[in-house]
Amino acid sequence: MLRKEQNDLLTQTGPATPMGDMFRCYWIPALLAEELPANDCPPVRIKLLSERLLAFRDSEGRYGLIDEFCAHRGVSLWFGRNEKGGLRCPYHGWKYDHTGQCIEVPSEPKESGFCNKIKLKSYPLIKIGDILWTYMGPADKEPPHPEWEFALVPPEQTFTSKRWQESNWLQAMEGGIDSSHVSFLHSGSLNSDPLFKGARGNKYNMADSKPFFEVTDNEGGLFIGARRNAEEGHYYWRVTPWVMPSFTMVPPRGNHPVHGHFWIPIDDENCWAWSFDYHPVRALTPEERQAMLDGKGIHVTYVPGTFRPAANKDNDYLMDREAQRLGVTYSGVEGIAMQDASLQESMGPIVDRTKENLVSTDNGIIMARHRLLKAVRAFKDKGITPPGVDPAHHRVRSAAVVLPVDQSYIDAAAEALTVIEGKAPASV
Amino acid sequence: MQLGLSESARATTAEEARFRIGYPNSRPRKSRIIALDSDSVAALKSLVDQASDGAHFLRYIEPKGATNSLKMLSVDAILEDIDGKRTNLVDEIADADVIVMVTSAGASAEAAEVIGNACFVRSKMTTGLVLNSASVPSEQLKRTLTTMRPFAAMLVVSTGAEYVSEMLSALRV
Repeated sequence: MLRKEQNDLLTQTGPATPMGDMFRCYWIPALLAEELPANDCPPVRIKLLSERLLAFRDSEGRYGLIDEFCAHRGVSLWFGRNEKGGLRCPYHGWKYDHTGQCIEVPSEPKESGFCNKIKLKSYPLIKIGDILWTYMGPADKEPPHPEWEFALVPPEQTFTSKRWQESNWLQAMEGGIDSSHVSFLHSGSLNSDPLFKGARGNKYNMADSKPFFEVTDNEGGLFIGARRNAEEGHYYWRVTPWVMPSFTMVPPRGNHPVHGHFWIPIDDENCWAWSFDYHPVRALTPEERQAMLDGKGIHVTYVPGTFRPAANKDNDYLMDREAQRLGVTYSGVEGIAMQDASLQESMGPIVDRTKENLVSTDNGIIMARHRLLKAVRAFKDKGITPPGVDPAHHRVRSAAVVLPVDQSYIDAAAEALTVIEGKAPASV
Repeated sequence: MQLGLSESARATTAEEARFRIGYPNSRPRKSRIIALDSDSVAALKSLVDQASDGAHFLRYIEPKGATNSLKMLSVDAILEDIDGKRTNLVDEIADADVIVMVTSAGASAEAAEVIGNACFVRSKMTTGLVLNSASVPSEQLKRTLTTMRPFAAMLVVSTGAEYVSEMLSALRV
């Protein structure tokens, strides 16, 4: 459990909140690059960390992420005309460039220089991989660009999607480091989902529903190892890295692509669940890519024209009690992503952690909260840069390995947990 | 009540959250936190005042002889509480809900085997907490982990002693 003040501290990420300030130390995923597919394409409204913003791509391909509202009368610039090197408000013609600088106020004499005095708040927006990333902190503290492996491999080796989750970011992220739920909630999917089935490791997963856990601190966050019995004298280890504040990777299965998530606050009651699949050494097959587009694995299908999952709270997640009864799905909800999201959303927009009863197998979650609390206090009180900002912390991998019982995963699989270009992931 | 919403949509609004039942949903837990080495004793002593009545802070002293029924396993030990009073492991864990073993990286953790076995035969969950420090060579940490691993359902390696209190608080201990 957390005390109320601790829960508030971790779950509130708006401007001028301690956790919000800490989130603003990082480059975070803002949009899929495909949302701004061409120069002068329509702008996109986006809310991040409780700030309403507008993203656009100007005539020269420069990306802008600016305050959504025109400085003149507060009109949403989503209605704007994206043309000739800027975004023009359709109300009175005020025009802004990709930095938010006003470059035209038609009603004022050009020579007056009035427009130079108008500038909307803006943040950098850069493309790395399939994602447009932003940094929302002070300009003089901008960190080096992110170096997550999934975003750096060639385009044919990676796939990223995002979905709107109607809950606070923390309860979503905690699901990503809670390895013990897999044997229950996702048990129906291990042998049927095209992006999971067929791996030898699945056999160990299904044979041992009470894994032992080992949680280890590291510089950027944690490694959470779940061990199950394998052949005589050996353990099957699944190791999940968590990098602060909200990056997780799922241990791989067989030669399937490796997947993981970012959990980014939209506001305190909603977040973006970013989901990626990639393979470090080979292109995704057409079948794998199609499965991802079809919402298999950790991806979803959508309400057309939105990033809202087709199964959502408004249709009771298309709950199928017969599938639940027959064990086709454990919870009655189809698909790994929505099995997680449905339960996390059911907790309410911000779960009241004063009422929970954690057990020892929740130590991964307890340790992650501890690290976040420690980092946010150190940042707030002493200005110490939090873990996970340094790109060196991004070069981690998940791993699934079988090891002799006397070996520690943190030593025996150290190389497997580090990005080594051209080296296949450690998987069973 | 907002009309037109599905049951899930209605039930998960912040407005509905106000109607969640406010009664307690668990009874106080009894816990035994056992230091396996002297550095861990020091870490636990600082927590005694913060802990609930159900928590006993103990120190491992030595194993007791094997029983007739379980000749191969040592499943009892002598412990000592913070005031120096001696007690038996089996008596301490009999009604405990949570058993936490705390040791320092590099310390000998053979006591974990005795405690782990005693808990196993009584179907008690064990958590092992290893307090690591940058000055401890990784080989020594590895040795401690290897000793503890078979006897702890959850093993945590923490670089800060402050995690002990954080974990106990999170577990309502």
